[in-house]
Amino acid sequence: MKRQVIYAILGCLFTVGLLTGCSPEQIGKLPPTNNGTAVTPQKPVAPAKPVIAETVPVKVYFGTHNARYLVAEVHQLKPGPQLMQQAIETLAKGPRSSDLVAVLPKATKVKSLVVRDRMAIVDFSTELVKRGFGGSATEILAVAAIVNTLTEFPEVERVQILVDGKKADTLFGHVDVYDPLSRSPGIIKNK
Amino acid sequence: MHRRYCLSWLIFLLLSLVTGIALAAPAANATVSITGMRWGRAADAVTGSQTIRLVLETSAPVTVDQFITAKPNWRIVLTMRGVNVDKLKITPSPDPSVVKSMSAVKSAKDTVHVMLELPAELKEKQYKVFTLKADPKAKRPFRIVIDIAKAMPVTNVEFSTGLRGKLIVLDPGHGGTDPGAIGPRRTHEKNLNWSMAVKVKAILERAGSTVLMTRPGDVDLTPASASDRDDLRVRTMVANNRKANIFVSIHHNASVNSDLNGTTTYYYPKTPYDSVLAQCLQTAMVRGGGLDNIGIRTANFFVVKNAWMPAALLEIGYISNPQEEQTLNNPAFQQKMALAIVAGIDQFFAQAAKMRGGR
Repeated sequence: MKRQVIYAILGCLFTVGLLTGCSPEQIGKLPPTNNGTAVTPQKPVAPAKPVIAETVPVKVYFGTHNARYLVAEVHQLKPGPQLMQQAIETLAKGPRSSDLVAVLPKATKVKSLVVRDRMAIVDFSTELVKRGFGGSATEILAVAAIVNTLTEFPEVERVQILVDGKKADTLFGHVDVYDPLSRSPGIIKNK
Repeated sequence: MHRRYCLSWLIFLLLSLVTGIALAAPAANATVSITGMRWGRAADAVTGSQTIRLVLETSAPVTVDQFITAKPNWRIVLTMRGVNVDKLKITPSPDPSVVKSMSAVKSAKDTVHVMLELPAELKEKQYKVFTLKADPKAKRPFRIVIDIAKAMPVTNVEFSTGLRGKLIVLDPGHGGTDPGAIGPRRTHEKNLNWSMAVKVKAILERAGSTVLMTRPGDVDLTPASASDRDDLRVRTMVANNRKANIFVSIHHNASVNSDLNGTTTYYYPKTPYDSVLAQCLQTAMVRGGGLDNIGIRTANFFVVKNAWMPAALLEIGYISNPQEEQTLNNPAFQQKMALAIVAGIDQFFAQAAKMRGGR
């Protein structure tokens, strides 16, 4: 009788072990089973070396020739903390495609770019607000291109534009850029 | 002896199976938790249209049913099954003119209703509910997102027909050290804007309107140290302080593409009248001026947004287009266009009088 109880307890423990998926070693000295449910020890895997991509694709927005829409152009940029800043500098450099037009003055520089509370705060050099650069059509595209390029990054929901460290009122005299702006899907034209 | 052994073995086997199921049960029936919430504000970079966003963060994907009801009050109701809100801390709405408050109540077992109390009617198009997947790279959990548009405030402004007795603010864009856009023949936009405004003013005054200009001539409205915003704010202040009936800003467009041409009118839909004013002016300008019709567009432009009365910003033509630059400099063309603008303003008062506050 004593032996029966011991067998029963062991059997019970073993069943619980199978159901909960523990390895036999954890519940005493029961022999390994051959029904395939026992956990086989995992082979040690060499830790994968972190693969650093040379470049990553980033969408940068440029204007269409009719000055009504923005179209995304994919540029290969170096990953890292400067990625967003590079995206904006690419925006100032202008498009590869002759089907698109630049929307920022070429000499525009990014002085700093930080993301705080899902808001990108981007500080431009005064070249951005160069007098006589654009009319309202260009200004709409410029503001939307900055905001839409930065909100391509999942950590950015809104964009605060600064010029020379201060909140800018408008860039070329029309668009209100004093408060943070969010993505404008309506101005994007899908090719 | 042997049979008894087998029996106890079976009993224990059964018992352990039951235990196993009992152990597994909570896992299979686990509820998803709403772990957090946050409010956000968005302003479309192009149109300036404002939205309040509510994000509910969940521990796993959730299916959401939603509807909007007028009774007892306007509210959006989201229904989720298998969801637990015990850990949710509700924070107040950042803008009670869009969402008054939010609450979450449990009805049946594990069914939760999230209710957003609205201050007024909301049309189907003015809100949307969607879910987003977790994004480990950006450290974001699964989310339920509710976007609600900030509606136009109800206005009690009414208009009468005719130009006589009206107070109209004309805003010749740029000026002083700000030339605006510059054409290929070195036409400064500020000068064209001024020439047009002077002509419009003369015609309106003959028709019995009082006209205020936002700048007295080719000058800066603020000291050189002040920002453009101060300059633009001074322009809208003139109109707001004097309670003008309408605000019309006169500009000329420019683009890096010198082929572009045509007339366009911008507005900010802050009252039901703004789009009507823009459309009346656009129709009249295209008819009278004969330039290509690019249509009316909403834009987050400072002056039309911050002038309290119905406002429009005219982009009469492109000075970056060599041919159009020449046309725009022609005094006969300017006179034709000025007459068209006044006809558009007259047409606006006629239409606005029928709207009775847009109700």
